Amino acid sequence: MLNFRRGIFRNQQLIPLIVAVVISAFLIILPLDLRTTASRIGTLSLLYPYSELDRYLRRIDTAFDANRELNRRLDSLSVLVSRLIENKYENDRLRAMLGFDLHLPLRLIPAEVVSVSFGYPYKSMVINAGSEMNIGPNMPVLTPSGIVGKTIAAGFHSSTVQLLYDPACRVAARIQASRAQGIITYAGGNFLTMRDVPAEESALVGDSVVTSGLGGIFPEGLFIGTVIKTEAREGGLFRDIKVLPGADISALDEVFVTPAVPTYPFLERQ
Amino acid sequence: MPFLYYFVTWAVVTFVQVVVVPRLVISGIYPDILTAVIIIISLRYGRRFGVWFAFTLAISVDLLDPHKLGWMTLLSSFLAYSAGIVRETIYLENPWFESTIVFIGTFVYLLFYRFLPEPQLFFANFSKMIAESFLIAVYTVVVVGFIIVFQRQRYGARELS
Repeated sequence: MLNFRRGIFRNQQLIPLIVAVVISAFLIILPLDLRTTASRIGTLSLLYPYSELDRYLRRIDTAFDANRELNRRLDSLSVLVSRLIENKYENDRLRAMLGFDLHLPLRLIPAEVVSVSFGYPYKSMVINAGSEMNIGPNMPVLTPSGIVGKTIAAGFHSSTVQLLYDPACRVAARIQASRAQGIITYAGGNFLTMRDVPAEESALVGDSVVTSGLGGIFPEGLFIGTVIKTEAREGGLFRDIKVLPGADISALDEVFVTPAVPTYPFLERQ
Repeated sequence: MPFLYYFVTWAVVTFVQVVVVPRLVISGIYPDILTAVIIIISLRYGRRFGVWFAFTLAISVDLLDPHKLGWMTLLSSFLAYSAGIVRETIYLENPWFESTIVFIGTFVYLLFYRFLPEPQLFFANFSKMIAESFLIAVYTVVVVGFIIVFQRQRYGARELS
């Protein structure tokens, strides 16, 4: 026994192991409440910085996950809001068209714009209504804001519309206030020109320009646009009037086609 | 080993085990960095220092779990002592040998760490315990093996003291 003890203490390598085993065994046989207390003391002292760091990182992880979830919801809500805004605009347009339809004594056929072309040979657009709805060539196409052109060809389900922006398009028009008459043509950009207006006729900036009904296609009194500039030709008998179209022709969604020229006077935009 | 070096190693390993390892868990499998470091330190510095190092390192992490308090300290000390014996008998100073010892040591240590405190639970989930211990040892050696190889290539072989 004595030799055994001497052997243990002579072997310096064994001493740390024996100490470790004794302390470990002591910890293992401790009652659970004492072990819990020891664990709590150790966690709050020795491991406190690590525990705090771990807790802090967990909070960051949680915030990161919450942020990702919120971003996902934000994305879906953005899409929803975008759709709702689009629906609101469509609703506003349709309400305006409905009101227009109720007040104008014309038979109006609603149609949606399928495509718009500002290229050669016509500046035109295609609408989703054709001969099945009694639409044929040379019928006025208009919006609540003013006329936009006329049909030049009609298929069964679609029609092609020549826009006011087409250089070949001519519309007989007059100044609503002075009754001065002229011909509306495209002037480049987003403007029209009312040509051949007698120089002595009154035309003021802000006056409304409406169809005169003399061309045989557009009925009388449909709003075309507003006078924004008058230019007298030097030494001439006529002058040109620059007109801003009422309808935003480059951003059309829905239009009306009016299939026949009625025989009674039309309401004119004040 | 200088005391400062020892203290820094203890602080870094404790930090990794307490803060980093929980974030490396994949389906319940985690790299047991603490065990791997104890084995490597014991292989390089001998069983005497290895046991002290294992004891102080293990007891600090052991405090996190009051139900198993003492077991990690006990088993880590034996593990370090065993690794020290390996160092004095069959140690080859190359990363593949060290990685193999890390794998075997981690696997055996985990089996004992799961068996001794709760033997009934161990036998009730015997195959699961074996599989988990094996996968943890694999994960550990994958993570630590890269560090060993990098350290060997960067600093070269260290003379045995």
